[in-house]
Amino acid sequence: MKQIISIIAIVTIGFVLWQLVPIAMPSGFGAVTHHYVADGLKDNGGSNLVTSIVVNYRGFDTLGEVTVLFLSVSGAAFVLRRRSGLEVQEPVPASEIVQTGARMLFAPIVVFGAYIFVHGHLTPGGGFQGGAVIASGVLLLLLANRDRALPHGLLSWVESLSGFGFVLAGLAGLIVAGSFLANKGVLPLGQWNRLVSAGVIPIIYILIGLKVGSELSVLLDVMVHAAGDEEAN
Amino acid sequence: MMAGNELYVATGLIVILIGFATVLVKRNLLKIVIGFSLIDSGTNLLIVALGFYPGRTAPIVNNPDMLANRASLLVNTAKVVDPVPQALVLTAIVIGVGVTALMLAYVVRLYATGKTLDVRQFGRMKW
Amino acid sequence: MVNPILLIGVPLAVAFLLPLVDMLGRRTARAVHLLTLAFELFVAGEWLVQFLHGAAAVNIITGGWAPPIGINLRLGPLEAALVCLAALTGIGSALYLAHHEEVGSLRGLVIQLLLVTGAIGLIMTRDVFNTFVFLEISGIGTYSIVIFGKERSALEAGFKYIALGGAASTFFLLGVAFLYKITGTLNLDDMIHKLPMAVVAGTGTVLLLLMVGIMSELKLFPLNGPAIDLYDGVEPGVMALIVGTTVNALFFVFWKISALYTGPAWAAMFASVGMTTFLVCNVLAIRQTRVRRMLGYSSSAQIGLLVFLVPFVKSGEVALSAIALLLVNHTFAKAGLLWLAGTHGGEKIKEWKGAFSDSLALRIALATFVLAMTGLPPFPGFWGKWQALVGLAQHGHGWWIGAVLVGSLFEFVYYFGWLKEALTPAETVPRGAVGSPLSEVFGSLLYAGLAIALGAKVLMQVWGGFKTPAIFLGAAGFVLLFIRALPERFKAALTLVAVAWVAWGVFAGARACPLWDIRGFFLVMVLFGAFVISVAGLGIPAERGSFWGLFLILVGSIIGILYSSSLLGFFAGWELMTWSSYLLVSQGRHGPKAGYLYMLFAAAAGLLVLGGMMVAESAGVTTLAALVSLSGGVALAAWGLLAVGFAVKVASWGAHIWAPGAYAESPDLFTPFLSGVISKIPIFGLAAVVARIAAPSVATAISSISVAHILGWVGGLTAFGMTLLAVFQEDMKKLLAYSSVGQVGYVVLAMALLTPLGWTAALYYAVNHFLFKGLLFLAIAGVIYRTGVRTFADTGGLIKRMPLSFIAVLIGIIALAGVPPLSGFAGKWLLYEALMDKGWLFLTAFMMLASVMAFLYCFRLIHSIFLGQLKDKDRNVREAPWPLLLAELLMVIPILALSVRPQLLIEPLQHLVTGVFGVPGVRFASAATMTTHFGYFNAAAMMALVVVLFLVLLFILLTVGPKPTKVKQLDIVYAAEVPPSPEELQYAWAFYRPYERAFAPLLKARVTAFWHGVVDVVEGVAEAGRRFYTGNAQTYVLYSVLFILVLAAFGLAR
Repeated sequence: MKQIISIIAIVTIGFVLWQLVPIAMPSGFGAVTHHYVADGLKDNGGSNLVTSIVVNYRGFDTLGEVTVLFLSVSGAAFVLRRRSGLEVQEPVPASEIVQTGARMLFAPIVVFGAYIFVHGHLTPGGGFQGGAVIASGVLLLLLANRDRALPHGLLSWVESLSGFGFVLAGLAGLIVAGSFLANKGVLPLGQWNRLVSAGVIPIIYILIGLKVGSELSVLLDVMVHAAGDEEAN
Repeated sequence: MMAGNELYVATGLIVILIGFATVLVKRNLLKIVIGFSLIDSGTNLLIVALGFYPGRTAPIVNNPDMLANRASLLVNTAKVVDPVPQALVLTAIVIGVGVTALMLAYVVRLYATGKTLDVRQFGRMKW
Repeated sequence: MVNPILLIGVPLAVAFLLPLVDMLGRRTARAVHLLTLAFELFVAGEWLVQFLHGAAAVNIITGGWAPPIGINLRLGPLEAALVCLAALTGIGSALYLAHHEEVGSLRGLVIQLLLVTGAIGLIMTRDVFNTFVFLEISGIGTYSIVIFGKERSALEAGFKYIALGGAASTFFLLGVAFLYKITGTLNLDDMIHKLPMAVVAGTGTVLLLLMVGIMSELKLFPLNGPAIDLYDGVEPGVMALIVGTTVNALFFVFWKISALYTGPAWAAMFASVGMTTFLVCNVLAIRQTRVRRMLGYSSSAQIGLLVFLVPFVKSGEVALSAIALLLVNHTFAKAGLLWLAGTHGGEKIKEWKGAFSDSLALRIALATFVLAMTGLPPFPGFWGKWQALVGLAQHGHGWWIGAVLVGSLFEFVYYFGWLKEALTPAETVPRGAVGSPLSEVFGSLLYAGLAIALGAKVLMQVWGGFKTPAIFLGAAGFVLLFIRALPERFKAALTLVAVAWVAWGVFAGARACPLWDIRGFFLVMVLFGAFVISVAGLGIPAERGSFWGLFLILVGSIIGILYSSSLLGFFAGWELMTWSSYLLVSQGRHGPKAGYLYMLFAAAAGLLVLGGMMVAESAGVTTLAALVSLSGGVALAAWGLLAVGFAVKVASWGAHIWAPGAYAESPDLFTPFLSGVISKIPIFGLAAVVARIAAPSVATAISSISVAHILGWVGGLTAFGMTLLAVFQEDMKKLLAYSSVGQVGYVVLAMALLTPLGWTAALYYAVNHFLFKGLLFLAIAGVIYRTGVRTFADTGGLIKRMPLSFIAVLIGIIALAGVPPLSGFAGKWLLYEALMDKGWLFLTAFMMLASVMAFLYCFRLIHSIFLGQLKDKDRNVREAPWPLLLAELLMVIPILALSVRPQLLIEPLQHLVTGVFGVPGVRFASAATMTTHFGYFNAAAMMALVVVLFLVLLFILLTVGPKPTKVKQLDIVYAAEVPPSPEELQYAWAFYRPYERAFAPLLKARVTAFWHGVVDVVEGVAEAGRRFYTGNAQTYVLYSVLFILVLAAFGLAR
């Protein structure tokens, strides 16, 4: 009964929301968007306009986003902290292809991920994307060998310091240029389309990449070991 | 009627609705989480589609043709799609990941305490 | 001044580093956590002080770009205040949770800190997408931290919360995205500017989506199911943190974003949803048996009220301070109650009996929070509600005001139902704060202190500083509450000194006789009554340590009422009097239950009075003096509401069922004051407030009956009905209670005459009642104190052992009965004269009948207690303690004086009456003789006549009459029958049984049955309504989808 009401409700809402579709018709850029697009390269020196929005114009959002991820990993670790009697199923050992492949592919995957976040200001991608790729490398390792112990201490240090580094970069902007997370005047913008350019942006993205990579790895670790004996702090 | 990006927006909307339907109709906790994941994907698709302009390219200036004025590095705004929704979605995806991770953690614990994945069994607190 | 961006930057940095700091030790991490919160408080506090001195709000840009290109934050007075509250609550909860094994863990600390930071971000941001990001921070923080608490319940609650939160954030995000597409910007201020010009088809739906997202975060009905579960299942210290940080921040987000919603349709929607939440949640809370669940419904209701007020504040109709005060009040009280609930540990209301009996500070904190939540003065919520109602009144929103008052009444029902359990002593070992470290209770005590301090500050603005008698007594009482080491009698002495000092201060400088005006008249009664009680207190020790403190607060509040010139001041004193007397009534052994009923009716009376005052405010009247300017329908409505309110407070027939319990179960030391003084304050209300409004006439189909006549009938019915009920009582105090209520009915009747003679009669009778009822209650208190019993059947023959008490009671009942020669007769005489003068002849006869019936219970008092045979257990009782006798003497002297020279009182009364009506009521033909239309009365001559007659008869009896023989008590051979063994022949039980049979139809408890019916209906609605929250996560998400459809339909209809 409730299911029928649910379906009817969904369909009705669908009709109501259908009238929103025409809003999506392409209109011109608003004043704000015009600035982001037209002046984005000039202001920040990076070819990737989305990056210059994410890290500079709306960098405060990104700080929040980093916090969200940090918080949810802490939360998930917290929720799964206690071992509540889930039976540990004996894992089927991974096949030789997976184990060998994992060992071989881990390094290239990490390098690829690093490439993505180092070039965040030049090509599609950035800290989050690169970090996610790195974490997928870690996932591969865990798939190959579930009991692999990840270096918690190192990951913790990386996580904390990169987050702190992000805030420091923002404070540097505050001290040097008068505004939190400012880019102009903190580091030279350089020539566009070069690796070393766009001021503080690549540094921030590197920090974010490291943070996201280590964080998602910790998350994977927490979930894989959700049934087990030790307490994760 | 379906010009430009309206098709994509409509698709996003439909995915969202399917996601909601899954959340409201399915009994299995994991399927409900998948439903939320669908909602997230649909939302992100819809938002990116909101910024789409047919015939334009990605907002990455890797080619001097995209510049309106090479000397002052001003970009030609008629060449690229709207980058703002893409930036928003970037954030939204990460947030979605975070929430999904937390939801799954909850499902694990709920299963451990209740030994079932049926959402109807977890309604002890009421009125 | 510190750059406000650090309010977010610093805690984020600390949160990221905390896992590293933890390697230095958990204590270090905790200390760093607290220091960070202290830093936040300091920074925000500094800015707040600047803003209060008039500094302009600051704009903080990020990324180096001014808005709308970059994201900006704002810190203004509102923001700074909310940040301070968040930081304070964060500190309180951090201390509370410090010893909690899980929340005190590293990750727990991180989550706590980030919850506070998320809230601060929500408060300060001016960008809608940034709002979304911080919404998610707060949300995820909440989802993570709610795991504390009972395993299964916390998990369930958390999952439902995540599910609904997921839906809500989707709606919000979609709204934001579409708004970006429509307006081209993400900056809120820019959007507000651009939206009106950019509206396209579908904008309304987009705004609706955004709003439903916020509303489910705000836990408005019908989307608050998971939130209620949170309150129920989650560790209270965590919930307190959420209340002080996230809930407030979310409300502020609503406040900010509501600027996008212009036009009356949206305003109506907000008001409707808010008020619906307020009413529904308050009703549903009534049937709750679990404490924290009840608090959850209350929170939803309060947020609903705030949301309701937002459109009115935005349109300038209601002052901003109303919302600010209500929000601050809610933060202090709700967080405090949650911390206390955690410390106490009892989950069901029934487990709270005898709560915190080992900690005075926590008991006071609990009472403070309950009083604050129900909107009683001096706490901030009271002033906030008043301002909100005044704003609504001045713009003619009568129905909304009614809804607020009804919802508020429900709050009294469930909050005081809980307090009743807490005040009831426990049979077994009660739970308390045993073993709780100071850190755990720090938050509750801090917030209680802040609530009291803030409230007192506002009260002093309204009433005056410490030099004002009301404030002085109130402060003295408050201090006395905390002093436990002194013996009770000593505290009574201190009270006596305080009252005497105030009286001297008030009257010594008076130029004219204080009895010449209404205020002075009642002042004399109050101060004299308080003085007498303190004297009695030297003899009978109070049973509870807080008696005298509360008593001083009570006396202070009454003086505040009397001295007020504004409606607000009057009402503040009124509500203060209500709760302090309630707490005093609840101190008796079976007090709490009776006190609860007392509180409910007193609260209802207060709300009626408030309603009447709001009607007056709607016509622009803010002071008592200006009431005369009301006219027409407004005057009728105000008059009606105020009169009914005052009538309910004096327990008029129909609203009387609380009185016998309250009078009987209150401490014996307090009942004389309750009956003698407190019952007169509504009379003051009738005289000072109601009478100022020209009594309007209401033509009925039959003839022209004025509303005053109706009030008179109410008084008359009360007099008759209560007297009748008093006759058949078996409990001494209950008998006096009914009698008391009935006698005040006479006063109400006389006041309703609205003639100089009527008022003379009323006020003279009021003084008399005060004197003889006080005397009777004091004497009975002495009897109860010595014999230990309260029922007639258990006493008898005490004239031999307590002769002085006997004389006191004798004088009392002669005065009560209104027979010459004592002062009561003059009162009755004036009353009948006044009634006949006005032409209400039927009532005259009716009252004479009632007065005759009063003889029956008067006789009972003398006969069953003092005459007849002495019981064995009472063979050795001593006379009442001498201070008590002294107090009784203090009452007897004025009675005798008035018996001989009623002019002592009536002459000043003529001044008073002339001041009101322009003509006096009685004329004095000579120095000692009063005259009216119908006749004359010379009291001195009367007294002389009676004394002479008495002496003559006495002489004849002693000399000429047959000589009596003294026999032992049980020797009854003279009765012409020889019983086999000596036995008691005292006839005391069911004394008036034959009359009972005769009056049986009148005695049916119809009124009680009526009120039971009302309670059943309300509880039935609450019980049925509760089922709405089925507990199923999917259902709650479905409600959110349906809610969108309902609101969309609502929008289409307009």
